[in-house]
This record gives sequence, C-alpha cells and structure tokens, in this order.
Amino acid sequence: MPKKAGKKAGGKLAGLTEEERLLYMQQKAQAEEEIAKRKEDMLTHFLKDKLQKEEKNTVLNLHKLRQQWRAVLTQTKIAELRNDMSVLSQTFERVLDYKDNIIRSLQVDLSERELQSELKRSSHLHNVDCLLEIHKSRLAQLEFNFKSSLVELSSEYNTEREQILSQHQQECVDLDNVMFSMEKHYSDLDGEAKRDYQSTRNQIKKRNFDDKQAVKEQMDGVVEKLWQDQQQVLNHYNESTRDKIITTDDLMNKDVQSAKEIDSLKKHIQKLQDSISTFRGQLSSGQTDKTAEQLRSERDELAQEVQHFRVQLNAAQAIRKKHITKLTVQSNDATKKLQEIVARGERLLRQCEMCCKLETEHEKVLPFYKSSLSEEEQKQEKAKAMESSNEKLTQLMHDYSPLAKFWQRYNKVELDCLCVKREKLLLLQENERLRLFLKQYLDEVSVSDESFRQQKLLVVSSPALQDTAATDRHQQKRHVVQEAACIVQKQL
Amino acid sequence: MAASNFPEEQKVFSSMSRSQSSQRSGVMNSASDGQKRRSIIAEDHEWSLALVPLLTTLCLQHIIKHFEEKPILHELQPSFKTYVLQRLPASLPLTITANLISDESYWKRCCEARWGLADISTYDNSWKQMFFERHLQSIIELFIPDTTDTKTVLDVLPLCQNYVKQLRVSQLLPPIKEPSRFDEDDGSESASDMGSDGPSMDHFDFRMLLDKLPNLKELSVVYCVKGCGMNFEWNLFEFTFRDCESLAKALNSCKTLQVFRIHRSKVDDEKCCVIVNHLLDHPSLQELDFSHNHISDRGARAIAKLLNRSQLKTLIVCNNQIRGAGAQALAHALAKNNTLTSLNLRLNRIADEGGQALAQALIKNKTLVNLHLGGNNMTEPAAVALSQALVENCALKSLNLCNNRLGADGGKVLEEGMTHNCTLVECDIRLTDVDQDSEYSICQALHANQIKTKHNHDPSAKV
Repeated sequence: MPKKAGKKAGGKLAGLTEEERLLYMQQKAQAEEEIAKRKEDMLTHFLKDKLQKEEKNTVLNLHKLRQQWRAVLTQTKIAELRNDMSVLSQTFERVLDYKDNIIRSLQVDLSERELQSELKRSSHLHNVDCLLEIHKSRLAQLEFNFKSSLVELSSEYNTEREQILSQHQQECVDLDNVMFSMEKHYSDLDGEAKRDYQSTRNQIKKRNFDDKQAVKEQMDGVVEKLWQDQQQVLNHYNESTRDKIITTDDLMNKDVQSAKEIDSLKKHIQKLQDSISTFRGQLSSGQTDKTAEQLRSERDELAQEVQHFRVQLNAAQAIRKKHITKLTVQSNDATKKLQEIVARGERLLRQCEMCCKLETEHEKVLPFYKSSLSEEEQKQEKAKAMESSNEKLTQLMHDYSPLAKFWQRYNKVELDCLCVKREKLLLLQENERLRLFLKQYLDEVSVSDESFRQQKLLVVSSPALQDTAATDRHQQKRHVVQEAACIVQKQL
Repeated sequence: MAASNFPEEQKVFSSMSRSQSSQRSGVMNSASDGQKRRSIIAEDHEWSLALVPLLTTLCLQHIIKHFEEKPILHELQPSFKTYVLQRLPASLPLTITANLISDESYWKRCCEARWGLADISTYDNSWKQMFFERHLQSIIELFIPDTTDTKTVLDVLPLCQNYVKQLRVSQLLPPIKEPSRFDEDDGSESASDMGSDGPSMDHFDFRMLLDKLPNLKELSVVYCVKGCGMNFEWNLFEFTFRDCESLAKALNSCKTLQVFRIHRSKVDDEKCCVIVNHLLDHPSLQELDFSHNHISDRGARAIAKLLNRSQLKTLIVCNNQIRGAGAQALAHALAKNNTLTSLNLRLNRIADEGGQALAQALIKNKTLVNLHLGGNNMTEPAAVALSQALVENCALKSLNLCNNRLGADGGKVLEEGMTHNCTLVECDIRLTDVDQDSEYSICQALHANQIKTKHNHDPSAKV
C-alpha cells in the first residue's frame, strides 16, 4: 500500500509540468496562427477585389466578341445546312422507295409461297389419304381372309371330329359283336371241354379205384412178409444179445457194491485222519518219543493199506467203463439198422400207393392174366426147363419164379413211358404251332382298321385249326395205345 | 477225240456271230447320225428342213394379217376364234375392235402393252372397261383447249360410251398462253376487240362428254397440272368461273351420276354455290367430295341446303376453311336429315361453336353412322356437348376427334358419356391430351360395344 501511494504522487508532479508546457505551447501556437490568419485575410480580400474587377471586364469583352463571331458564323452555317438538307432529303427518299419496293416484292413472294405451300399440303394430304385408304383396304382384306380361313378350319375340324366320333361308335359296335361271337364260340368250346373232362375224370376215377384195390391186396402180402422177416431178425438179435445183457447186469451189480465199499473206505480214512490229528495234538501236548514212533509206524501201515485199496478200485473202474462203452455202441448200431429197415418199408408202401393211383384198367386186370403164350408154347418151355442139365440154374429159376409177374408189369410200364414221351414231343410241336397262330391273331387285333377282314378270316379259320388239332390228338392217342398193346403182346 | 473237238467249234461259231452283229449295229448308227446332221439330200431335190403347215393354219394366219381390212371373227369355230384372238396385234384401231371383240385376254394384252401392270379390282374386274376408261381419261387429260381438235373426243365417244362407268381425271391442261399474248397486244391496240378475242374455253368442257355417257356412275376431277417442272405458272392451277359454270351444267345433265369428287381445285364459296345450285334435286347423287379446297361458311351454308334436297349418303368436306357459322348451318341441316350416313369435316376450323352445334344435331339425327371431326381446334366445351350427344344418340358407330385439345377434363366427360352409350364401336382420341385412365375406360367401353355388336350379328355365336 505504501508503494502505490508513492507512484501516484510521482504522476501528479510530472503531469503538472507537462500540462503547463502544453498550455504554453498552445498559447504560442494560437498567437502565431492568429497573426498569420490576419495577414492571409488581408491578402485574400485584396485579391478577391481585384479578381472581381477582372471578371467583370472579361465577361463584358467576351460578350462583345461572341456577338460579332455569331453573326459571321451564322451566315456561313446557314448556307452549308441548306445544301446538306437538300442532299439528305434526296438520299432518304431514294432509300425509302427502295425499301418499299423490297417490302412489296416480299409480300408478293410470301403470298405466292403460301399458295404453293397450301397446294403442296393439299396434294400431300390427298396422297396420304390415298395411301391410308389402300392400307385400310389391305387390312380389311387380311382380316376377311383370316376370318374366312378361321371359319373354314373350324368347320373342317368339326366335320372331321364328327366323322371320327361316328367311326369310333361304329368300331365299338363291331368290336362288341366280335367279342360276343368269340365269347359264344369259346363258351361252346369250354362246355365241350368240360364234358370231356368229366367223362375222362370218371373213367380215371374208376380205373384208379380198381387199381387201388388190387395194389392193396398185393401190398398186404408184402407187408406181412416184411413183418415176419422183422420178427425173425428181432428174435435173432435178442438171442445174440441175451448173454451180453446178463454180463452187463453182473457188472452193474459189482459196480454198485464197489461204490458202497468205496464209501465205507472213505469213512474209515476220515476216522483215521481224525485220530491222526488227535494224536498229533497229544504229541504236541507232551507225549514221549516211543509213543510217537509207534504211532508213526501205525500211520505208515495205514497209508500203505489205503494206497493199495485205491489202486484196486481204479483198475476195477477202468475195466467196467470199457464194457459199458462197448454195449452202448452195439445197441446204437442195432437201433440204426432197424430204423433204416422201417424207413425202407414205409417208402415202399408210399410208392405202392402212388403206383396204384397211376395204374390203368389193363394193368389192374394184368395179375389175373396168367400168360399170353399158348399151351404148346408152355409145354415147350417146361420141357426146356427140365432139359437143362445144370441143377443150380434150375434151382435159381425155381426160386425167382414169383418175380415173373413183377417183370411183366415192369416191362409194360417201361413201354408206356416211351409211348408217353413220344406223345409229349408231338404235343409240344402242336403247342408251338398254336402259339404262332395266337401271336399272329394278337398282332392283327392291334391293327384293327386295315386287317379287319383278315381278322374275320382268322376267326373263321381258327375253329378249323382247332378241329384238325383235336382230331390229330385223338388219332394219336388211339395209335399210342394200340402200339403199346401190340408191343407187349409181341414180347410176351 | 471227236467229243473234245466239238465245243471248240461252237466257241468259234459264237465269236463269228458276235462280230457280225457288232458290225451291223455300227452301220446303223452311222447312217442315223448322217441323217440328223444333213441339211440336203442329193437324191431328193424338193426335201427341206421346214415342215409345211396345215391349210387351216395358213387361212387363220391370213385372217390375222388382213384383219384390219376384213375383220372375220364370229364366223369362226371356237377353237379357231381362240387361235386368232391370241395372235391379234394390240395396235389395231379401236373403230374395228371396240364393239367386235369382247374377249378379256385380248383387252388384257392391250392394257399391258399400253400401261404395263395394273390393278383391275378398281375397274369392276373387267379389262375392257379398264382399257376404255383409261383411254378416255388420257384423251381428256391431254386435251389442250383451242389446240386439240374436239373431234378426237367426239369420235371416241361412240366406241366408249357402253363401257365407261368411272372417270378419274387427275389433270386438266389450260390453253397455250403465247397466242393470248399476241391477242393481248392486239387488244391493247384496239380496245373494242378485247372482249371478243381470247380462248373459247379455259379447260376441257365436260358438257360435250357427260350427256353422252349413259353408264357413268363416278366422276373425279382435279383442275391442276401434273409434272409441270420448270414451266410452273399459276394459271396452270386456276379453276375459273367459266370452268365452274360449264362443269355445273354438265353435272346437271348427267342423271346417272352417283359419286362426284372435285378436290385440290381451289373451289371457293362462290364456285361452290354455283355447283351446288346445279346439283339441287339431283335424282341419283349419293356421294359428294369437296376435300382440299377453299370452301368457307357461305359454301358450307349452300352444302347444308343441298343436304335436304338430295339423296346424299356421304359428304366429305375435309381440309377446307369452314368455321363455326358454317358448322352451325350444317348442323341445322343434319338435324332434319334422314339419308346421310357419313360426314367428314376433318381439318376445318369449326372450334367449340361448331362442335356444340353438331352435338345438338346428333341428339336429333338417327341415321349418321360415321363422323370425322379431327383437327378442328375443339376444346372441353365441345367435349361436354359431344358427351351428352353420345348418351342420347343410338346410331353413331364411328367418331374421330383426334388432334383436338380436349384435355383431361374433356376426357373424363367423354368417358362418362361412353359408359351410357351402347352403339359406338370406334372412337379416335389420339393427340387430344386425354388422361390415360380416361383413355383406358373409353377403350373398355368400346370393346364391350364391339362384343355386343358381334353377338347381334352372329346369334349362333351366343350358343
């Protein structure tokens, strides 16, 4: 705070001094200026007065000069202007006339051009109208052609559609007629076939029944014979195995006794072991050496005895096991053989039944037929048989005499098989031929329009084919039967 | 040894026979070749390559050669007549052939020889008619007044009069100007003779022609010159008052005329009045065409007067200068008319005044089918009036309003009118500033009307 007060005091002193100086200087300057102004004012005043006088004089003189020059120049200028005006007026008149002419000619050209343009426009419009008329007429013609062709096509297709529909209906009617006739034809054939089937079935049934009766009687004898053979074999087997059964029973009894003995021995061993353990306890409790040596010797003896018994037991078991295995093997073999014999018998019986069904009437009658040879031939045969020197041969012939019937039947059947095979070949060929006909028929049925007449021809020809086929088959059957009978007669 | 020698002998014999046959064939071939190439046979002096024709053929050729002196045609048998007609020259004079030959193939050859290919459908599919019509047309088009002798026309008329039904004159030549200049010079020298001198006619005078053509049905006239080139002068395109008077009188004298066309001939109101006055009460006129002329209101008034004093069915006044007053006169006549079916006022200046008047007339008229008002400076008020007319009218089928500034509002008004109309099938509104929605609606309405019209024409189509 004391510093600030010191600065302010310094400023006031300086300011006062400066202010005084300024005031002094200003007062001096003002005084000088006033003096100069007074001098200048006096000079200007003097000059102004002088200038005013000069100006007044100048104006007056100038007016005088002008008046004089004006008079002179006016005269000369008037002459020049008059000449110029005459020239300019002529020039302007000429230019104006020229432009008027130009305007007039342009107007004429313009009107002419308008007329020409109008003429050309009307011509152009006329031509365009003509072209439009041509175009419209052409379009109308095209439209007319389109409509007429459309109507023509629609009518054509309508007629075609009606034609196709009527043709379709007619074809349907024709096909119905054809199907009806074919159904009738095939129903007739079916009826005929059924009647033939029924008659053949009845014949076969009767024949089968007769054959069955004959075969039944024959097979009863065979079965009885086989039964007797079986009984003999069974007795023989029982006799041969009786001794073995007895030995087996003995061995089984021994086995039981040995088992009991083994059990008792095991108990004994157990007791001995218990005593040994007790004795050891006693020893451990404080027995003497002598008693120990005595017990040891007794123990060794018992052990040897036990080992001896064990060896005997094992040997006996081995021997008995061998015997048992032999017996089981033999019994199995015996049962297998018996089963085979039974199966063979059953097979024979089944085959007999099947053969009975397949036998014909002639074959059923055959057992009652003795021989086809005449009496003389029989005598000759007997004589030949007696004449034979070899006794063994005669014995064999005598033994195999019951088989003569069998061989007759066998030969007959063999011949029948051969005939049946031949007939089978013929039937296969006929089947192939019929398949060809059927194929042709089916091909022609598909192409119905063109081959309708041919179809009718096939329909007409097919029953003829079937008739011929049926007749051929019938003849062949008869022929086969006759051939077999002749062959049999010839052989016999 | 004998058997082995025999086949060798046979082989030799066969080889000898083969050689002989080959020699013979060679001789024959050379002889025939010689005959073909030969042009002279020494043994026969009279033999020549040319064959002698039949006597019948020689006679027919003689008839053809001398047909001009002695025409023989109808006395011949049909096959011989055909032979002759196929070979007659096309340069025979018409005085002989015009009324003698009616075969179309001969006239076809004449037409093709003279004019080249042509469209026969516009001449009723008749070559003879085409020949005579074009022949007369060329005579008229090349006629020069005061230079060409009128006998050239009058001599042809008896030959053509039975076969001319249409006459389409596309140019008419004026008289030659140079003698008229000398006449003018003489006129300047002596003023009193100026009136009597001058050409006797300004163009071909139809009065000498039309009353002598009993079968004429269509006449088309253009008073201008084609192909003038650098010789262009305005008098070539002038239709003078004298021409107008002669033409009008000729039209009045021809009572079988059905179609009259005069276009691009600078017909103005005065000339139109003259022609129309002579056509009043004409018994058979059905179509009148004044297109591309200078007819304005007074001429339109005269035509309006003609509408109700004739049997007109078609009136074409396109590209003229008819304004509102003329259109009003036509509308006034149309309201009372019951024969007119087609009216064409294209490229005139009827504006809204004329459009409204015509719309009022349509409300009363029951026969007009086709109306063409394109390019007439019509705007929305005319569209409003026409819309009201469409609601009331039940005969109009085709309306053309193209190149009129109807605007969007005019389009909406027309659309509303179309929804109540059931007969209009065509409506041309191109370049009318109509809104697209209005345009689409109008198209739909037109389509519905077209379908309805088609069903009415084909009742079986409904089933």
